Amino acid sequence: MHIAQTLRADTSARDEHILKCLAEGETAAVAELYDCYGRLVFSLIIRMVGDAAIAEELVQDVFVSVWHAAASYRPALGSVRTWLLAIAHHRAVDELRRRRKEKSWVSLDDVEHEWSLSAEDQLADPLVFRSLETLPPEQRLVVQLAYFDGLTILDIALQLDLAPGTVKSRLRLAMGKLRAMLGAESGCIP
Amino acid sequence: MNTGQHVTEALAAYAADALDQAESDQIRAHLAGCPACQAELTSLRVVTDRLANLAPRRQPQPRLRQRVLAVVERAAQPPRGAPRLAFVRWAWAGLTAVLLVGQVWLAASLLSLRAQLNLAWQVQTILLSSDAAPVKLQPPGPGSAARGVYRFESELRRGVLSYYHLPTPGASQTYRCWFDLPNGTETACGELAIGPEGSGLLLLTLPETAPARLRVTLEAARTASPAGPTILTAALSPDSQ
Repeated sequence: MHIAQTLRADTSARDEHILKCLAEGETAAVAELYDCYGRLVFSLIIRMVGDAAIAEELVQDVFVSVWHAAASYRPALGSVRTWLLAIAHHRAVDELRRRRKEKSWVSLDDVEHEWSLSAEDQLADPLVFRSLETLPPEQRLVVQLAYFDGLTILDIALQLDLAPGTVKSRLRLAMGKLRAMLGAESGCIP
Repeated sequence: MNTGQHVTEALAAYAADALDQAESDQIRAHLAGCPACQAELTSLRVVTDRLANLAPRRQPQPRLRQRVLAVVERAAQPPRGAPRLAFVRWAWAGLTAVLLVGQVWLAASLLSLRAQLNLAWQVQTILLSSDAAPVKLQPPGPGSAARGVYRFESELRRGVLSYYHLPTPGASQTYRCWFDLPNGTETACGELAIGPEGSGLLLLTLPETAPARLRVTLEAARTASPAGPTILTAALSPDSQ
């Protein structure tokens, strides 16, 4: 077995054990989960919302949600890390949309119209960064606006003056390419 | 959106949280019953998982760990509503019991009131219907303040004995009323309830044979014939039936 696969199997077994403990009501397991993923969750959220205080609040919400939903976690639908990040991303998107709703419109100043990941982003996961760079710019932009800026398909369509179907199609193509490049379908993630 | 058709077109947007609430709900409903779309979503989630890696690593303040643990500990506590709910349940049970006891007491009071009204009605009927002179009952000897008055209505075969200043009987003693018949026997006609100042009323049913005397005795036990001392007595005329 490849070393990476062995490590991933060990990580999955550890994470699933933590989730099992949480589902059985062991609050101490939250500390273990936080020690494994607290930094990653915080990093994703603050990257999206930009405010440390709000990010801390959202991180708390995420772990409380995990505590409540631990029993519903199904390993067949993805790893604990993926599940946790999906919850964190959803919370951050909710926060971004709440802010925009307060302003009643999506300001052109709020979102980037160009690919804007930084060199710092590049260092975080060079393989993902390179994979993104291989995408056509219009697909890359849609990924950024949807995933990192939390815009809906309709918001992006309005901003880029495109049909919603076009945006949805670009996002689908981009995600499909990334999946192929990252080897997700084969389960061979380094 | 037809939930029976695959939703592959929208799954990438769903995985990236780029759908509005309504469309997300529709996708979620479809996913619940479509293993193929679930598998597609699972593979797309791996992409979003890797996109999260692009976020530059930021170290949160150490206090955040403590806050997270504290907030989860609070979330793990039984909701405050639970003991409150238990209290409310006990309160309702208590209130129900009180209401039940109240209802029983009210029913008993109504029955008692009804009996008193019935007594008053019968006494009133006897008093208004009778044209016979009242008979005064006296103690057999001097030294007692006990007194009584007997009124009757022959046609109704009902009489009423009112009495007052009867001494309070002992713990196991009762005042009993008797008709002495001409043949030397007695027939019991009731037990006297003692109210304020030794007073009370007793409804009597007249015997078939005209009684010769009315007596009140103090008895230590429920007997078929008077055994205790006579407290009040009066001779009755032949009209007293």
